Amino acid sequence: MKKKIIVQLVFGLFILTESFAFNAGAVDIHGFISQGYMKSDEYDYFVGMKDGSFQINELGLNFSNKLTKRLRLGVQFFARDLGNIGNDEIVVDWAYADYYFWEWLGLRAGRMKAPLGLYNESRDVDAVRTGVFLPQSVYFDILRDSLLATNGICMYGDIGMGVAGSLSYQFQAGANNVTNDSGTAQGVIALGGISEITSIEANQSLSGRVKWLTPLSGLTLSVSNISLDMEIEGETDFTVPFALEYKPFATTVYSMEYIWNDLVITHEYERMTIDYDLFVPAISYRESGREKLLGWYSGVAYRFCDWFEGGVAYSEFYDKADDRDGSASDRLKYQAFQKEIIFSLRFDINPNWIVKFEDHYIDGNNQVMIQYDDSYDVRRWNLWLAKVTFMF
Amino acid sequence: MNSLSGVSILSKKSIFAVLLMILAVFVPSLTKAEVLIIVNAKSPLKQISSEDVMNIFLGKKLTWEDEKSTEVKFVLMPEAECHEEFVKKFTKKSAAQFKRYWNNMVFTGKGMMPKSINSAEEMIRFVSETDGAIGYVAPGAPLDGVAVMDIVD
Repeated sequence: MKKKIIVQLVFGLFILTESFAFNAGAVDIHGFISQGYMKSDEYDYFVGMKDGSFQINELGLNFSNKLTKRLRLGVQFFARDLGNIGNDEIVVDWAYADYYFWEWLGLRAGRMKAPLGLYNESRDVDAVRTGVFLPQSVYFDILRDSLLATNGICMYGDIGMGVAGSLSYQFQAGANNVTNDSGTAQGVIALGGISEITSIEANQSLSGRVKWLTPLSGLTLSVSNISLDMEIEGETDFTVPFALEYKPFATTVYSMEYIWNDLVITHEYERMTIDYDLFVPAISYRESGREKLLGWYSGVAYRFCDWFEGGVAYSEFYDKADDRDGSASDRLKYQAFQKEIIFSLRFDINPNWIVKFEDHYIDGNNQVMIQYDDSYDVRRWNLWLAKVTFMF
Repeated sequence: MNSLSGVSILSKKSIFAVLLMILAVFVPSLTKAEVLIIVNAKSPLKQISSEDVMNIFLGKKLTWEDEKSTEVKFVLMPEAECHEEFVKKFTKKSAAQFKRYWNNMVFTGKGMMPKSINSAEEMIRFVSETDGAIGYVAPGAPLDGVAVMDIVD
């Protein structure tokens, strides 16, 4: 019902909107709606993908107002569906007050997107990138909810360094809102032996990014980090309660972006460390340890003309950074990694409409969730995506 | 021997053709007139750095460094011929990347979509009538009520 109402609301706005944006007095209103189709020839990477599924969409609507020359308020409502994640439930995507003191210092308070890598903050906005999926090695959608946004405070700014370029920084502290039906919960269930997640708290989150606009025109380097403590409760397959703590759940991303005319070259490298402590009180069982994950990708995108661009990327992901060939575990070798070549085409039909097509040729199945698909018998597989986006 | 000479001539022709193509790509941008950065004529500021122009048009610099810390009001002219040259020169992005940058800002809450207008006449009228306004035009446009900023680096 909620979905129906917001869809009607957005389409109503589309009809009212003749130009790029809608302005209700001093309030700016912008929005987007994307509908995709996903199909895999082998695995249910996300639920429904093997048979082909339209359960891939996003919808956002935001309102912003500048109250004074230094103070701005804004909120974005958002709904999305990706297999069995999201289910088009409307949430507050971001909502914050932004106070600008000087170029080198501003403060924000409210719910803000977390600065991780080049694209975490805009990962749900299809219009700002060439491809449909961001490379899953660094922007794994299962972990999106843990890393997406922080309810708290932020300081940010830009510092000129003369001939050395300039630094842009953003630091945030607060709590992340992770729900029991989130991708993160699905990720925990994928560990095996767990039937249900009843509670996830992520009350302490620190994140930050420093971006260096180098003296070489078009070259940007950045390092970003998120560290959060998570407390998870649920039940095992035998309906026995358990408590799982991730302290910390930390990830660091090193990023490079080079823009030369219509060419964009991107490289990102991520190291994730999870210190876990599992306790099952009924049998007094405790297990602690550290998991180290690794992902990276390199990509090139080129805009051939006003309406067409293409991109290709290569991506690798390992859920155990110290066992990249699978030799240290009893699983199949190709369960230890996921390597992808991604081809993307983007057509800008006009300033408001975008159509995309994408092919992922994948070696390995490290990121396939066991509860989605437990047949790990095929090493090389494909997934195809198509998506249409309207934005204003 | 003749055939070898032929190859040599062909090769020279090819090199010449490649050079011509390279010139065709680069010469228009070299011969294009520079974009003028204009501000309201009442502005006490007469010069600006390229970095400040970039930070203004990327939404990072919101106030002028004058006594009143006047609000910066920048305006775009995306349909004008000089727009591509302006964004490439001052923001180091293509027009498409610049538009994508602002979509990113708007949909992450970091900024509000800049005001856009359609012609040099409108641009000059807006800048001349608005305190703190800054824009750009191609040389040759009538500059009534606006001042051209000197770019200092």
